[in-house]
Amino acid sequence: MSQNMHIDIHHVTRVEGHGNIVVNAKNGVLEECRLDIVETPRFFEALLRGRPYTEASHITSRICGICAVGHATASLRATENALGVAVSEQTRLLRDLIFFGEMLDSHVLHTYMLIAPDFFGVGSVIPLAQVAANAVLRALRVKKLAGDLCAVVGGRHTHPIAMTVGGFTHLPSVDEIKALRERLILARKDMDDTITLFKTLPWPRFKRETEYIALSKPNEYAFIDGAITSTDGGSWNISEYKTITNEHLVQHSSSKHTKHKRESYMVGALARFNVNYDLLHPKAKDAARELGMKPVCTNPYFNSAAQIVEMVHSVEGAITICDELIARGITPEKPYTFSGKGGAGVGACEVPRGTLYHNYEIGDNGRIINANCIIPTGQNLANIEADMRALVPQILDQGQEKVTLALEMLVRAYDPCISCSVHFLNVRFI
Amino acid sequence: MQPLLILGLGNPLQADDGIGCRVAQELAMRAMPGVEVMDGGTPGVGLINLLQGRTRAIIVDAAEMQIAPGEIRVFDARQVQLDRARDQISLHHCGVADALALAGALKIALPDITIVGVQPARVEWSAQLTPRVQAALPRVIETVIEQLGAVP
Repeated sequence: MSQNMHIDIHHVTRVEGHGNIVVNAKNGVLEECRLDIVETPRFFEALLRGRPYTEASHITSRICGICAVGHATASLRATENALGVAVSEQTRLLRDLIFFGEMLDSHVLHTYMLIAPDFFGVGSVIPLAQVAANAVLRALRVKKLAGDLCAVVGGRHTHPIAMTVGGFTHLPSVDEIKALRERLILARKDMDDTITLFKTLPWPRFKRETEYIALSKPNEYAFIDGAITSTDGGSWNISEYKTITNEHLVQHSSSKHTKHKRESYMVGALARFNVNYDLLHPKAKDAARELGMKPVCTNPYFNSAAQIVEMVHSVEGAITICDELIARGITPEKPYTFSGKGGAGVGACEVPRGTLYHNYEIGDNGRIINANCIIPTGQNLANIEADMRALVPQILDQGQEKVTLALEMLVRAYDPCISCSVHFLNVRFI
Repeated sequence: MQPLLILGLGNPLQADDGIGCRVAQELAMRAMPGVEVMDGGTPGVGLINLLQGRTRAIIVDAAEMQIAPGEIRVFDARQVQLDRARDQISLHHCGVADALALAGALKIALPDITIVGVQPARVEWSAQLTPRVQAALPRVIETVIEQLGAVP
């Protein structure tokens, strides 16, 4: 077989935004291997500068239809840290609950609709719906539960409206929480069926050691707040995030790359799994065992398996919180009122795709002076390229078609979100 | 029976793509018995779950129709070809066309859907509608209200 190869995948499908994969090999030697990002950068700071701090979470939740709760939460935590706002135990519980909902929502879509088609050898979820209708219907059922959970707590489907600085403008009733709990209990069967399906699928085998970074807390599997923690050792306050991310420009990408102790690091479900495995719910650990993974798992394709583990964890975590909220009842709480003193603060969350940072400076007039945002995909780009460079020489003799598929599947496994959410209709009148 | 749904779609951070959300925000302030107004943002595949179980829905969205910016067209989702590039389905970019195609493949019954399409001038990162689409806002709202009485 020829040891020359040129791959130029223009717009990788089933990932968010526009990314191109370029590979060049000559006489069996890899000469070039990169992931080009051709999306225009987002104007995050410009969107927020001059706006009242109360609008920041609503604006940023529109950046993304999938991580709307994640952006809103990171935004609120940044503002709360900037203004010195303490939140109640009830607020913490409700935020954890809605976060479990978003994690479930995002992961079920990614695993079933973007990853499963590769395993079934079909081009997208539309033909998948023909060969495995029950699986796709299951995904939609879980998505509906997750979406309804987010609507009950967040006050609206897709983009939460009730989440505000210091708490919630609208609170769910205990009856609504009870109804959610019943449905979460029923969703356990869907989780079991998900594990049964995915454990039989042909997961690609590939390993590469790297640095995994995730937020961590002493007593829970961290999604909101925590300390930035690395599998290479070390733990940092979120206010020091720039010493971890070290953003730098690279020529072929309009998105900045990041690096910490090595040339790259990974964030996301697999990174959380590797950093925080001990704090997963026992049922989630069972799921990991069934899927054949244990920490430290260095196969990036297993990021999707780690998402399934987190789906189980999220269902169980949400049930636990519902129980707690039902037991303690829902108490009306006064929203925060501005003290007239601004400040600066960082908010960090583990959104479905990894660690998300928002950093705001707010003036004494309550308006945003500066804003910075580092999204998970930006942090993963350098690591995806490092994986590609390690993978291609191992499989170069398998031919262009297989190498192309392996690379596309690798990029999809990271669940990248290169740009977010513009989806206007293209219409032809017939 | 679930109420008729007026669903505004789009991203208000993408200039004219936000027209559907703006219309939903305006209509949400009016009391309309038997009508539910929702600012759906960019729900992706979740659109199926928002529509399922209803008998009628009016979707307001920016639509590339090759006409002048701010112009409005009303059509039944079945009357037109909604472009979806094969295999391009993704979570964020999954728009109305993809969600309806998936519902069709799964034989999920959807309501009668009327789409009120508004031609955008610009779709790029900006929190404001362009002047021509902004000027069209009252007419879009009027058009949606006219559709409430119309039989699909």
